Amino acid sequence: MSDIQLDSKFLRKLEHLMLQSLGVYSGEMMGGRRSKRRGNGIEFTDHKSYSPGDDLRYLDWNVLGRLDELFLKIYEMEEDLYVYILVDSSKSMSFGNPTKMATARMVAACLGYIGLAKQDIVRLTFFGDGLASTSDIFKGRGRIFRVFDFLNAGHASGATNFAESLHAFVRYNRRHGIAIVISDFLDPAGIEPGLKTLIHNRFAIYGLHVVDPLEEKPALVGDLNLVDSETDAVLPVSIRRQTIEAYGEFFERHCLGIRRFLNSYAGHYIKVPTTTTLEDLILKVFRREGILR
Amino acid sequence: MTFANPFAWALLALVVVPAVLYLLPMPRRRAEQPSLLLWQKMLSERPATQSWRWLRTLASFLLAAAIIVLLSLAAGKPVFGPASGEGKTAVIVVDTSASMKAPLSPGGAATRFDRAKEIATRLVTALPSGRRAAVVAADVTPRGVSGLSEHRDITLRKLKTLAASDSRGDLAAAARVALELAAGEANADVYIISDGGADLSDVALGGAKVQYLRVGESLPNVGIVACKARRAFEDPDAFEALVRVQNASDEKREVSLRVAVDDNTVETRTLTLAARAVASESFTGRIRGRGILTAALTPGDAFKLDDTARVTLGGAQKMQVVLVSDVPDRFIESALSANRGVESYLATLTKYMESRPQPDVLILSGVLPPELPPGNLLILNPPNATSLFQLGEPAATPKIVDWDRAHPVMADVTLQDVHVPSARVIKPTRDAVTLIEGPDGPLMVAFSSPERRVIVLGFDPGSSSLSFRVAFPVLVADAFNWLTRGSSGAAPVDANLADARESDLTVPAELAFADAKVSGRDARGGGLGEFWLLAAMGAVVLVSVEWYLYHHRVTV
Repeated sequence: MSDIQLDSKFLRKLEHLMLQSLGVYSGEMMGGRRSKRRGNGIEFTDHKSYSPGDDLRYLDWNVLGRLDELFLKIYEMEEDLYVYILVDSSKSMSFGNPTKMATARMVAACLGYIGLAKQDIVRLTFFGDGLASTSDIFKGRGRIFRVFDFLNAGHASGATNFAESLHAFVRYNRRHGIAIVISDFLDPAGIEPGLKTLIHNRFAIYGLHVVDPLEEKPALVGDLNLVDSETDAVLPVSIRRQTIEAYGEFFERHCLGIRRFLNSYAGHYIKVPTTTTLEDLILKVFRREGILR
Repeated sequence: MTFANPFAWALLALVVVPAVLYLLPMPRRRAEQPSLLLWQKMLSERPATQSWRWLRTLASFLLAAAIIVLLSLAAGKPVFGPASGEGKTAVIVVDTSASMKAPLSPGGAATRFDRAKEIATRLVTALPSGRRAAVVAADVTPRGVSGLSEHRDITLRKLKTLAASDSRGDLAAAARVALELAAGEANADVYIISDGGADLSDVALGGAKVQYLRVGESLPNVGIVACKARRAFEDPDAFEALVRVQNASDEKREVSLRVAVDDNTVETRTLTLAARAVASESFTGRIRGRGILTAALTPGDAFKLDDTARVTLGGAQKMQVVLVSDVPDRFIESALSANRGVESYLATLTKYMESRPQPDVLILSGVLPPELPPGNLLILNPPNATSLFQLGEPAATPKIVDWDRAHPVMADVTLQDVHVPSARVIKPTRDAVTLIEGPDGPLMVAFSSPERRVIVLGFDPGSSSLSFRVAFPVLVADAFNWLTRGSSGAAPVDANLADARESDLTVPAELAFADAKVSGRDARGGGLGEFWLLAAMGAVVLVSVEWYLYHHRVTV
């Protein structure tokens, strides 16, 4: 397991980015984002006619003096955003070179830094067949090293259970926000129940599908015993060229199924190949896909 | 098929190894995957993937087995023999008679003898190593081409030099020789490669394993089976000729027979011959001095040897013969007087020594001068040894064991059961040909040198039963012919086939021996012969294919 290291030049580029919030959420503390709640903020946005009961503190005296009419100044609030980064730490994430886990950690670190730089509230969670570990709530870019420490402490092991893990996540995190799920989405029981739990609890979902090239097109041929890395289950198969082609098609259908499911609930699906450089991924792919702006 | 190298059988047994390996469950390589979720779902949608896997396994096994088999064939040098004898020894009789010069099929260029030689070669080649083979040529007299030997190369080399003759063959005698050779072996096969056409009724197999490998197919043929010519008794400038023509086919044939002397046509006759019929035609004409009479049939056919016959007509001068004997010899005198081409003189040894004439042939019967006179000599019952020969002790009633049937002196002479009351063995002191063989050695020999020819007979023909036989004057006439031709040095020899059996190109289905009939088998030529090189190339190709499939991960 390698420690997360991001050079300062790349970090400066990240500071110019912002997580797309997929909607505006009311926070508890003042943040760096516009709130849909108006009136108590500091940034002027509009005027409105006075109605009995309105707070006279916001009366625009200049307009009253010039026009002799009562208008109130309306200000927009700037609220904080909760960014939850959920990293799949099941054994299947240890596949590939670099491992899917390593890619997931780097992506999570970048997104965490972007969130912290924009005064968002960031929380990280490792999950497998349940919640493995959950970080504190971080705010402010000075907390980035604690983010890195948390991510470095995670390791891939155990099975995958989206439903159990995300139910526990929702119970533990009552404040809704953006849920960035970084996973290979390989759950024998299915990923839909778990993701629906997030959706029903008003979490906006970004599904980052970490994919190793050998998952899409395995370099396998002949009579083999395929071993499940999570369960040690054995599947005897005879693989030939046509089998690999069929598997590749099946894998594409699998990805498309995840994309369609997330899109149907206003979520986003992004495929994250482990071979793509981090810079390309963050600065090009994620911006193109709309996760960052 | 057999292997030249028996080690190949052991190599071939290695096929068992891949067979066992393929029967054993194949260990599978483990390949860890992040999850089997997608594999299981995909395979549940493609249940037919494994259904014909056994076919792939079978093909793979067959490929491995084929490589082993081909390598075994290459190492073992498989040879395909035309016969399947299982004996340890093979005695091969090759018919070299004139009929073997007939084409294999009408219009074909290859002859029966070509095929026979090819079959014999393949027979020898196909013999497993360590087994012995002998080759006997069925010539005028049986001839051992190659004695029993396990050195195949030597046998093949001798077989290569074998050639068909222009005369009749004695298949019966060759078969007898082969059977005697085979009888001396523990387990021998006798192969007779022939077109048949032989009388084997006096040859007994005695339980020997004989295979008759037929060559050629029966062909219709019209040929001259006899051609004789002589000067007329009354008129030395006239000649008489007899030509016998045989139709050896099952259909009526019409041919034209032309007789000419030195290219001057004497007469041309059209002959209509019924199926299997023989016609004898006599001709007369005039000739001055020596000449060659030619009889020719038109149209010719596939067998050219018997379409033309030639006879040399000698000069009109009679042969001068002096018979020197101290006692009257009626039988010799009669033989001389019966020969119209001979002018004979009689003399005692004393009289001869007075004048010492030099005739064409000098006959010394029971007497010898102190030194052998020059010229051609016929010495009968010599009283003492000379510079040419020594004499053995007199032997009572020696039996004639054999005689040289191929020698011109013995042509048309049969000495079967001839009784000789007393004889002495001739022991030549220089190169000589034995004409008559007795139990203790030669009874008649012939010396030949550029200067002269000498024949010595070790007994008195007048006291033997030979003098009562037709063979005697024939023997004397043949002896005169041979002696005088040697002296001239350039006398022409009539070399006609003139044999009814050889002209009959029918190939019998079986050979009838005295005690059994052996059915013939058509032994075809060609075939694969030694194809180890093909096998080796096949193995290389298969290994290359396997190598390509493996390294390019070609799967099915």
